[in-house]
Amino acid sequence: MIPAPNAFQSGVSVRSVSKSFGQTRVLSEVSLEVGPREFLTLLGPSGCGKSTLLRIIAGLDHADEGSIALGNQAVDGLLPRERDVAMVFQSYALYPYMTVAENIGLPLLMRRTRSWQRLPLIRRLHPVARAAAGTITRDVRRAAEALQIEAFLDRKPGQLSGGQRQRVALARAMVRNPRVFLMDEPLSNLDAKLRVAARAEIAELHRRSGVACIYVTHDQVEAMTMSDRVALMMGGEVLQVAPPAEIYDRPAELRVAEFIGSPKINILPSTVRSDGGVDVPGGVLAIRSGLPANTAVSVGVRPEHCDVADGGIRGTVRHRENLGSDLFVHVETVGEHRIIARAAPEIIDSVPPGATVSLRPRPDRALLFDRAGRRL
Amino acid sequence: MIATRHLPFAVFRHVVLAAGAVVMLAPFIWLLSLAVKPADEIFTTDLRLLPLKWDAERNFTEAFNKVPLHRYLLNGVIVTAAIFTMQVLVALPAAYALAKLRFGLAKPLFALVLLGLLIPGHVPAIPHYIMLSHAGLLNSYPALVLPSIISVFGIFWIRQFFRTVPDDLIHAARLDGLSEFSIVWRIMLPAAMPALVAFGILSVVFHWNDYFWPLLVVTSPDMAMPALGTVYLRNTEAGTDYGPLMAGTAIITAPLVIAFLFAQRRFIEGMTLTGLKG
Repeated sequence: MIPAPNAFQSGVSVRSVSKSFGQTRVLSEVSLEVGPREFLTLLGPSGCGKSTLLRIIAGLDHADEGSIALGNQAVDGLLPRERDVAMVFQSYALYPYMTVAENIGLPLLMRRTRSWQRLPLIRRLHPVARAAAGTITRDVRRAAEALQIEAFLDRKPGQLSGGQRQRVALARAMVRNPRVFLMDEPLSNLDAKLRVAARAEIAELHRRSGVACIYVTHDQVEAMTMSDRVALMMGGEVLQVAPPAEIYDRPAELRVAEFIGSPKINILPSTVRSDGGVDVPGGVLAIRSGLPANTAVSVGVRPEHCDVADGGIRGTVRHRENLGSDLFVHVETVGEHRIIARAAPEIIDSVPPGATVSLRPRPDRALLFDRAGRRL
Repeated sequence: MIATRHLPFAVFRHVVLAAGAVVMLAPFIWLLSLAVKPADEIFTTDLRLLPLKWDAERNFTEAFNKVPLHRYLLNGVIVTAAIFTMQVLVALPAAYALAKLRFGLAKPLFALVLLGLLIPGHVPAIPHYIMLSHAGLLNSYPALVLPSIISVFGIFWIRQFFRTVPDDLIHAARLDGLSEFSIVWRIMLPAAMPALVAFGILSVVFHWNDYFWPLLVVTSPDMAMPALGTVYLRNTEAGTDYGPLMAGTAIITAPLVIAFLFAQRRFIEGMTLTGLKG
């Protein structure tokens, strides 16, 4: 359905890119390698610089320092249209006065014809212009079929629903088979149900196109479900680049651990004991840390690695959240530390608010961080 | 309930508006009335709208016979169309650059545009006249058109409208391979249509009715614009024949009224500047 990939396939190299807006430094020394067919997600809270980085790769913004290469070609001096990248915007940015077919066909029209061939009369009469128009119609139809929007080709974007507009934006990006796809939060204007379907669909389209894709989102679920690798950004820096499972299980630092995972990972200020275990508020964890006694550490335990079972950290139930598939129990231990534990929904009656329960974090899944936040 | 409670206000409102409308329309109604009366009825003391004896045919034929009225109308169409076209060719790229491009001089240049808005059109009249005279262009279409092709108001007006166009649309166009000029004509022009229609009406009305500038640069009756042309009707021979004068005035006013009625909705749309949303 999608045109065959170019023989020339390339990834993206971002080399020590820095950018400031006035006094605010939005990107500092960001480096990133994206493989030729890779789906890489830039994940981070709003204002972390991920969209700016995407715009710099597209050529819509200029880096103060550093360089961008697509494949083996440095593209720093090139205009956006010379870089051969396609972008899907959060607002979709469809041209409101053109039909869907014209929207999708515009990038092809601009590339396959010269400006004089687009003049009103010549467009209809000149053989080269007419031939180009024919191939454009064919390719537009093909892209529209791939995204199941061929029924709307004659409509204007204003007459489409959000989900349909999003498909038109995708079709416009993939129709010309670019070197790299850039997507800037393309799903954030869709409702929750549509978003789940669109996630799978974009991942599938990417696999078929075989082109590198850089996907910006603040939604960790999108990052975890769609990506080959996730680059977690915060405060203008890339904190960790790793496959989703690794970034979840082995976060490089505390900020990564806290950003990924919902509900958030439990962080307990702790001290290493002389016997090798760790003192946590309300109990002791049998972890072989190998650290000298009295070292201050933070212990991170994800809710699903914290069982409600006897003989652990004691605390009082403050709140329960029953999601049907999971039950999250919010427990307050000594020093007003809150710990969230995941349990089977069946036990909900045994943990009423105010009851005293015991939580047992699994020592083998606990993560230790030093005072600077690095994982030990 | 609500209707009765607001009835006194509704009546008051309508009376005020109707009074305003009468004041605005009275000269035109009187003009039309005179245009269909024979000469001896125009100066009678009794006030009547409709003539005792209809003389419309004579007045209108006379208007066309005494002066080349059709020539003035043609001049008006050519000159106002040329001015508006050139104004758009200048204002659209300028407005785009001021609204959407980031460059060092953007702010000072926009300040100059605002400054230009403060300068009355009559101030540069003499320099313009001297320049055209040196170029040997007096008493020609270029003399009527050239001084008006840069409209600072047009630049300002369209720039304000372009500010409402989302940046992403321009970014998408750049990635899709459009040059900056293509963006102006393919993306921004259709978006600015309501603003352009409003500006077009203001521009055409102003230049169609302009008396001052044609009076300065036009010497032969052949080059006269409509407003200037009706003056020739007045000045011909001894004493003014008011019937044909009013008929001629009615004829040169009609195209504008008709054009406004057709474009009324878009004009109001443009004036209220509800840009493109959604």
